[in-house]
Amino acid sequence: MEYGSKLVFHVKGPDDVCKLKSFQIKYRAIDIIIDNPRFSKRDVIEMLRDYVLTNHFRTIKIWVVRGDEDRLYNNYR
Amino acid sequence: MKIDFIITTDRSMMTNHHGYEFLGFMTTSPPIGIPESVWNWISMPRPKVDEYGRPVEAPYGLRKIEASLQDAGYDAYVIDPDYIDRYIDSSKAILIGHHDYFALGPPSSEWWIITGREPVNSKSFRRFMNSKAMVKARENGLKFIIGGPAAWQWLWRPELIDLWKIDTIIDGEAEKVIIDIADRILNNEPIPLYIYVGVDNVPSIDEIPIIKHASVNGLVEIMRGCPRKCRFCSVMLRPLRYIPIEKIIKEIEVNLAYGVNGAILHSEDVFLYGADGVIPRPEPILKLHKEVMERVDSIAWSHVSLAAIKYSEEKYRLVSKVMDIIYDKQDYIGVEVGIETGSRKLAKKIMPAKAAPYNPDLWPDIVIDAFRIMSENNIIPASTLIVGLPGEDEEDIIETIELVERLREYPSLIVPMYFVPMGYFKDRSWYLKEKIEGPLRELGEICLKHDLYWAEKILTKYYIKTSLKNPSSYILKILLRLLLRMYRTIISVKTEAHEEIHVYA
Repeated sequence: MEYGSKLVFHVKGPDDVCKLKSFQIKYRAIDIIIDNPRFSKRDVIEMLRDYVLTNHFRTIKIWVVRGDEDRLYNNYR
Repeated sequence: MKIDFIITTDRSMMTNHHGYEFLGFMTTSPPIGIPESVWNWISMPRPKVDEYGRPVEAPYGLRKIEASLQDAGYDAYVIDPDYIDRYIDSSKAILIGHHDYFALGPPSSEWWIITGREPVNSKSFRRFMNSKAMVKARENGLKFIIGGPAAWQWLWRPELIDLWKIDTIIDGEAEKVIIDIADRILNNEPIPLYIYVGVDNVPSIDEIPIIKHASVNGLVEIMRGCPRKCRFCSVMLRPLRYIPIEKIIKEIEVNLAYGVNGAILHSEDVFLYGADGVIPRPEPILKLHKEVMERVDSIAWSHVSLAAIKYSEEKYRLVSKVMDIIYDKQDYIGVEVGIETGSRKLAKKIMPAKAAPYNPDLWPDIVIDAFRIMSENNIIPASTLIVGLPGEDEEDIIETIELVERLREYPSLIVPMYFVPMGYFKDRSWYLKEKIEGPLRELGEICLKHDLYWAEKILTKYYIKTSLKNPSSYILKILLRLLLRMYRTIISVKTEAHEEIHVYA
């Protein structure tokens, strides 16, 4: 999903992180939504560590939202 | 006092090191030769606090976050860690900053490798996170927001994010993004687990707030970012901004109002303040020092680059002119500098602009010239080397050894830092397995001898001047002198034994 120049990307598992890496650097910011309740915070960080450490040119936010995504994105709609 | 946001850190950070900033480096090591309690008394004494537990001096980064939140209308204060229990029941969140949470950064990681023992800074932080007040804060459901220059370290300690119930890690300049986080916490909205602050979210000059209360030892920043873009340095990722002199002076006046009469000018390169790229300009540097010295009793610099020192002096006699301004009130100035390597090959590869405007092929000679200029002007450098860089071979280390030997005649400290690939942190005991042998060991020994030779002279002649205003200065001077003599004796005995083994091998 795109909100203006922001990319909002859902990650359900490691395969999605590979897809995320394939996106071109055209977005001002990236919001990564973790919506798999099985993941602990540790799991999330370990899954995305390499990605955040190698993409230091835009704002990246990782959200662990547990199903209340609507509350996050009211501002963008 | 109503506080929604407690801004704090552990004791190794919430201290003014008796007014001697350089003693802060002792927090990056385990205690050597004396009990930990004495080591901690020297390096991290409790600061003065007011009736609400607010420290008179606090780390500059925490002061910036406090100022951002207060300017936005939030009840946010820096509180000493010994006093946060007063506010746990009524606060919404605890915001924590640190230079080195887990002793993974330089020089802590290096001391860990050498001694095999955990430095006191990470022990202090763990004590703080397990303190009664923090346990209660977790039970009460307060949010925990982590930031500061060592925020990246949590990526390598993710199990502690779950254990200590950390809610958000902010990696980067947080003055802008913290407002949204605070707003969300008060409105009980979701907050992100992790934020990397990209260039679109770093504050502009106008958005960088002026601190409201004093910073530790009067530290004020004069610029952010660095144009040299060395490959090993995270500062290169930040846009370059020069803080206007008026704003710097306002912060110095805040410090003066709290009785902090010195200033530490913080910059990646003080002689690039107001520069044209990497070319220093005399006017802004002279104006800055005149304005600052009219107000303070003493001054220090955080960092300068060796190329800027050489260029400034040879082109404009600028170093001498600046020191003429400073000499009115003090007889020397201390500063950190990065030598990093004596290898021309590595200089070209990892830090091609560090020598600019000179050719990186000339790097060792630039270092020598800059050290000579600093020595002639009573500037005492504490300098770093980086060893173990990718692509480094024995020849590179030997060139670095040769450079350090050429620096012997100049009053200075030289500390080799070990470049640690982050992947090592997957294995917690990496630091116990590291072996320092061959030329690397030789380099370490040469640096240690250099430092022990100069440290006592620097300490007694320049650094710790005893004064009745600061009674602990007498005890500190005696203790540190004894420590240095003890280290020198141990090192000479060990080195002689090492040399004997070589002779008879």
